Amino acid sequence: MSIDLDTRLRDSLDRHVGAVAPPRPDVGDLVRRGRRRRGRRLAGVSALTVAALAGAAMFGVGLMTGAGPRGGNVTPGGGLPISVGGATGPAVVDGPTGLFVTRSRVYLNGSSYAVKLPWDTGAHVGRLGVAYPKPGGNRPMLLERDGTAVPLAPARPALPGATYDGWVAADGNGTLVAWAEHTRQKSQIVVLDTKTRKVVGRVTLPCVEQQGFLSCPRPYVVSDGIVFLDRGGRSQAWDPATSTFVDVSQLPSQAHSKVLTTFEDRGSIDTGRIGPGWEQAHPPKGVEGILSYDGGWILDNGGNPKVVNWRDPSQTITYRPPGVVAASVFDTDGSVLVVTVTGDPAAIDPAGTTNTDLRWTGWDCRLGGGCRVVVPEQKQEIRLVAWDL
Amino acid sequence: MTTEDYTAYVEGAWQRLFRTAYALTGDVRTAEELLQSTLVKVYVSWRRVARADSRDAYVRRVMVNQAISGWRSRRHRDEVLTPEPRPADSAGQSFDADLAISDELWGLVQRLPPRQRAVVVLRYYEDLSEREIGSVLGISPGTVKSQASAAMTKLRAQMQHASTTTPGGHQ
Repeated sequence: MSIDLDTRLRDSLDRHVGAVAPPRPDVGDLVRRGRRRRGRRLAGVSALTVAALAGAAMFGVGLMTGAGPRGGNVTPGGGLPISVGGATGPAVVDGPTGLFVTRSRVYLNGSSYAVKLPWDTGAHVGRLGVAYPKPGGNRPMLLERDGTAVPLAPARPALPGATYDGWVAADGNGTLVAWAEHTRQKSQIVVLDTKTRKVVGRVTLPCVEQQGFLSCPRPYVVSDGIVFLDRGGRSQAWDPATSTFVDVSQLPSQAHSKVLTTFEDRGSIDTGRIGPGWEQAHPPKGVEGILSYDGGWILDNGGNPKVVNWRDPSQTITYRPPGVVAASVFDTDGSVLVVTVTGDPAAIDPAGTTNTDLRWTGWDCRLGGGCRVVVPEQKQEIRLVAWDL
Repeated sequence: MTTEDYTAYVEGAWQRLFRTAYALTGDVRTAEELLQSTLVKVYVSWRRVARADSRDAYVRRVMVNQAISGWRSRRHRDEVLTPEPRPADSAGQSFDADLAISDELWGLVQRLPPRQRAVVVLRYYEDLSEREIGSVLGISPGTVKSQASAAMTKLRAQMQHASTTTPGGHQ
């Protein structure tokens, strides 16, 4: 008998969590640590003030010398990348660069703009800009390279009673973007060319409801003219130019330059069914992460960023930006964008959304140049745009 | 601020909070560290916490946001454990298959990106609504939906792969 995934998830969590016997709390120790921390926070106020003044002075110097966001100082005290095996890193592709996001601003191509991108998933980098669902309604938008945010679709879907899906897929090496418009019965997939602003593909597919959760088809990945559809566990490659659908064995997690990756790099995809020239990346064991825009490299972002040539794993580049690495992704120009955090990790504001004692910095790290500050240290959390962050 | 009040709260809430911490981390030691660290912070701001409509909701919010803050999840990324081997069971093949799927899912949930994992735990373990999850994580219900959808997409893809590579694969 088939059991749906929702039920299996509930059962699995209940079973595993229920099997664990919680240890006894040492409340006295918690109180002692809490008292020490309160004391440290009070004592730290004056030190923070001094640090803030020093930081302001340093930023002032940068402004006086005309250094823009991309012109910050090279990483002080080391941090130069280590290249092994003659690794040169990914090739440059045409696209937006230096993309960082805070809750209120976007840093792009050396400037920053007061644009709100989704704080979590849903945005993807395309050749002409960042495609994203607009917060509050998920209207598909494109943040162009000059910081102009333009709608790609009407405020409400054309399909009566439909809502936009919170996911806009984009081809990192092309101009196609795709999104879904759902009703409770069906999903309309729309593919638009951001260069001509014309819809080049449209198809309507049925949704499946499982215990109150709708499973509607959505375009998950777009690459080289092919739209990979997630159909509730099945995966289809759709070519809007020829209106052909091909079942592929597994949903790709990313695709660039006709190279596919799968989730956790565990599965296999029938690349031969998609078309000539398609291949699946097979990174070495233990390496997983982001696929480069040229399709040739994997960025293992589980700590200090490490770039690996998946076709020749002896070629690696490791970056060592200062601070604790919170996230990293490839940039279209072949460099690696990194967000680091400094501060007392145990001092996060209990309110949970404002990490008042943390400092975030955005870096652009490149072979031969070290890491440069793109987004100066700040108290607002900085994030990157990627499929999996 | 009364230490007695705080102590009473921790003693009463520890077990249920620990279970949530365990669901979020998948590891007993890490769960205990997460919960201890959370409760230390809660002590520092106990006046504010004590005034909250729901202390549990407030503390859970602190804990979940701490669990998904970048460095911790990444530092512990390599420590995600595969399910421990189970002894052979004579209850029948379908029972074994269900347990295998349950173990597989547990491992896959622990390998989800931190925010997606938090959404899954809050949705399927805590049974919170999308609005409540949004409140815990400080994100909109629409973002919760897209996070949940992305997580489910990933889980389905991985389960599908498991079913095609495991002899007698799951359904």
